Formats: sequence, structure tokens, C-alpha cells
Amino acid sequence: MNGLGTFPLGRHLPGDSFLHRSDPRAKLLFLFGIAIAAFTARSVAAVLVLSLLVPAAIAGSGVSPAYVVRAIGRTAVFVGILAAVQLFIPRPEPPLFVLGPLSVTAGGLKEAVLVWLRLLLLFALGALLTLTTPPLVLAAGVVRLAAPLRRVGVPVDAFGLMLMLALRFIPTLLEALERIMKAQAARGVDFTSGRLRERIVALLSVVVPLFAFAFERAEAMALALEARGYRPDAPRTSRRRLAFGWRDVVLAATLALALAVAAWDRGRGGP
Amino acid sequence: MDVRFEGVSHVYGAGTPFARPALSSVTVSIAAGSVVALLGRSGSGKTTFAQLAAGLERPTAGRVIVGGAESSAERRLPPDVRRRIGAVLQHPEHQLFEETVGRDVGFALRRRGVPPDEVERRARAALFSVGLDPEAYFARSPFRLSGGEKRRAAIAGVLVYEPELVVFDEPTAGLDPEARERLIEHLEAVFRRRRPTVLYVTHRIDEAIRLADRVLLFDAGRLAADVTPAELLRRFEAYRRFGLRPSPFIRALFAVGRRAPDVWDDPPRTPAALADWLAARLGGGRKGARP
Ligand SMILES: Nc1ncnc2c1ncn2[C@@H]1O[C@H](COP(=O)(O)OP(=O)(O)OP(=O)(O)O)[C@@H](O)[C@H]1O
Ligand SMILES: [Mg+2]
Repeated sequence: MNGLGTFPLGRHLPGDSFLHRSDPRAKLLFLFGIAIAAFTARSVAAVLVLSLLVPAAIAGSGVSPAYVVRAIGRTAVFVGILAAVQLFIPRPEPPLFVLGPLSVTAGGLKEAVLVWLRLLLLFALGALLTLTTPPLVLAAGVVRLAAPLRRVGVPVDAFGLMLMLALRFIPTLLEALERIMKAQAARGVDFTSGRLRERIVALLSVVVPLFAFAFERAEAMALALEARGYRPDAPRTSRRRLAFGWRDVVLAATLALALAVAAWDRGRGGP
Repeated sequence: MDVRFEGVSHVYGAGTPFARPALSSVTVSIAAGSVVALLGRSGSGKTTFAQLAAGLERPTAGRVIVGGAESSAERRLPPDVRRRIGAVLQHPEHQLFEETVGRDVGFALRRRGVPPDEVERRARAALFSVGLDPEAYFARSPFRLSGGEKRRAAIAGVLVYEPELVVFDEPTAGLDPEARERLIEHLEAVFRRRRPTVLYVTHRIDEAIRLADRVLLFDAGRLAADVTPAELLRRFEAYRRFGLRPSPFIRALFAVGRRAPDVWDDPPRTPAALADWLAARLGGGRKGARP
């Protein structure tokens, strides 16, 4: 139960590193491009090559590697559950082995590993993006990137704000979860005590208050925005000047390389 | 249940860039059945200390021994010890989680396998004792209570299972004066009757002096002083540097002490007791001693 409050996704860590000083638009485009590359690549080997970007990005972020690696480790378990869904999709292949009602095929296993690696890669880079970019700057980046859509009537500013609020909400919710678990422990019982049925009941009893908290927070935030005169349809004034620099060229070159690797892997047909 | 801190330090988010030291090398022993008040400025580590004692946080260095069991970076208090501990958290809105007040107060008993009709009876009694009418509150949603009502419901949910070690983190914050007085009287009665070990965090020095046998003063994550309420009163000036400010009661006590130094022999611990002391001194009845 410890450590949820320090989970990196959606958190900002002030600093002065390569990534901190890159333009938010460049970082956003980079992440988007890597997502495309990761889902274009079809072999485990190619996705592993793309994963080399993670240590590089950690180095370029100045964030403690042990901290990021631990967060990736925690996420690996959750993402692993998502990825395991791939195993349940029936495939016209002879099974490698049979686990109860589940017949695991080589293709299913490969797909599961691929999904797992891709999601972890995106999680790690996404976490580094929020760690190195203040939420407001990130929102400004999104708004500027999406500005052309304004002409076709897309409420770009509102989306930027929504994205920022959603990102801020992740650490808030995780902290809330930690607190609720503590509230149960404060009465001398928690998930680790009692019979299995009791534990499941205790776990489920976290869900109700978490939602209650989420709605309460959302309401409070809406009130706060209104109190400050925010109108979703009014044009925003941004005080932030964004400018590309040499760091953004490095990001672009790296992205081009990653896309080339992915395209080559796909063209090869994959093993 | 006795509590012992041996060189205990705590850092929130240890090993992450968000690390925040909160408590450093605290060593102290608390005997079973004592009522200990924790005082100190905001951020001085009171809550952290109390949560370490209750096993809600674990030390990052050193160890806490509770009822003979150990809590440390490597070890968690065993479930049978945790079941005998209760904590009223600083923010009651973080403590309530069931859909109705009645179910919430009964939570701990249900999880301990108490039969449903007894759970309900004891939950109602606990609500009544903190000044919430069970008829009116039992079926209400805890999320829709006022701050003071939430706090009292949270206290009921902890007292209901009669923990042997109980932490109160600012239990009277946000209560109106009448509810505060009622709650304190109720707590006094509980402490007298059941003799739990109590850690009582407060910013109200009058409450500390009235309820506690012992006062721990925290300053910037360190245990700065460990005194009896009488010593705290006698040497009040010396403790002002830890953020303590005299209450009207303490000012009155000092005013009396300037004329009658023997008041310090065994200083009265409530305004009423001071009034009684004065009345006895003046040799009269208790005319006008109380409002
Ligand atoms: N969950 C947490 N995560 C990170 N830092 C924390 C957390 N809780 C407390 N701290 C920090 O630890 C230090 C001690 O906090 P603590 O809550 O123990 O103080 P306190 O004496 O209870 O203060 P108050 O009177 O305001 O309740 C503070 O610097 C605080 O910012
Ligand atoms: Mg506190």
C-alpha cells in the first residue's frame, strides 16, 4: 500500500535536464511517434530495440533510474494482466500447452508479450514526459499542436484544459486510494488480514469511497474554475512562449530512427 | 498495550525524488494505559509519530515495538496486534468509506466476526456516545455529513471495538464548543473505564493538559521535550519556542501564580479546577467561580 502517492504518471518533478528543456510539443510528438512505431513493429526483437529509448530517456531526464525502474516494475504487473487477455483469444494453431480451459499457442504468447512490452514502453516514456513537463506547459503544448483544428470548430482550449486536469487527477486518485486503504487499516483490519472472502469484501469497500472522492473532487474543481471566471468557450491567453531548439532536433532524429526500425521490421514480415 | 520507539526515523516517499523526511531518530517508551499528548507546530511530525505507533506507517530506520511485536522497514505488525489498535485520522473524511453511517461504524466489528444484531446494537451505542442520535444518523450517507459530524462518526467507528491502543489525531478540530466539551467528557470516561494506551495529537494545549499524563513536544521531526503536564505549565516560557502559545486558561493560571506561587505545587488542570482552587484559597463558597 505504500508508494502509490509517489507513482510518477501525472507528476511533475522540476529540473534542468535535456528533457526538461525540450519543447513540450516536441516531446508530445515524440511520444505519439513512438506509439506509432511500437504498434507498427511486429517482432519482439524490434520492440525490445525500441525499448532502448527508455534508459536513454531516463538518462536525459535526470530522474533517479531506481525510482523509474521501480515504477515500471509495479506497472508491469498491472499491464501484465491486460496483456494476458491476448492468451484467451482463440487462434487456429496447435497449442503449446493447455492450462485448464486455456490453450496457449505460440502466436498468443507472442502477442501477449508484444502488448505487454508496448504498453510498458509507452508508460515509461509517458511518465518521463509528465515528470519533465509542468502540467500547464504540457497543456499549452497540446493546444498549440492542435491549433489548426480550431478552424474546423474543435474546442482545442477546452481539450487542453481537460487533458491537464485528467493528468493531474492520476496522482490525486492514487493518493486517495492510499488514504482509503489507510482508513481501513486504522480500524485494525486490511486486505492482508482475514479469510479470502473478507479480504475481497475489504478490497471492494475501497471502490465506493474512491468514486465518491473522485466525484467530490471533480465538483470542487468545476466550482474553482467557475469561481475564477473560466468559460470553456472563451479564447485563452497563453503567457507561455514555446520555441524549438537543438534538443528538439535530437528528439526528431531519434524518432525518425525509431520509425525506420519499426517500418523495416514490419516490411520484413516478422519472424 | 505499551509502545516503544527505538531510534525511529521516517521519510515519506523514501527512495523517490519526492522523499520528505518527517521524523528523525526518536527514542521513547510509552507505558500501557498512559494518555500521551503530542504537541508541536504544524509539520513537526506529530501525525507521523502517531501513525508509526499505530502501524499505519512503517519506520524507514529504527523500530517500533507495540505490544511486544515489531514494526520496521522489514517487518509489519502482525494482524493480531493490529486488530487491537485503532486510529482516528486527522482528516475524518478520509476515514469513512461505507455507504451508511451505521455500516461504517459497524465495519470493524463486522470484520471481526461479531454477530449482526450485536454489531448494530454496539454501533448505535457508539454513535450515541459521541453525540450523534442513532435514529437520525444510522441510515445516512457518511459522505453527506458536516465536518464535525464526520469527525464524530469516525471516532465512534474506532471506539466501537475498544482498541487497547488508540490514536486520536486532532479529534476536536472542527467541532463547536458544546460538541467539543461533550466529546472530551466522553473520552475522559472511556479513558478512565477501559484504560487504553492513548496518543492524543492536538493544537489545543488546554486539552493536552486536561487529558494527558504526559506530553511529548515535537519540533522539526525531533522529539524536543518529554514532560508531565505540571512541568509543562511550570516551565511554559521555555517551551514557547516550540510554537506553544498560552491559552486564556494558562494566562489566568500565571496571573494566579504571580500572587500565589503555591498554585504550582500541583497546578489545576482545567479552568473549573483553577476556580475551585481559588475558591478554596479565598475561603468562601464557590460564588461566581463558574459561569
Ligand atoms: N503523506 C505524506 N507525504 C509526504 N510528506 C508528508 C506526508 N505526510 C506528512 N508529510 C511531511 O512530513 C512532515 C511531518 O508531517 P506531519 O503530518 O507528521 O506533521 P504534524 O505535526 O502532524 O502537522 P499538523 O499539525 O499540520 O498536522 C511535514 O513536513 C509534512 O509535509
Ligand atoms: Mg498532523
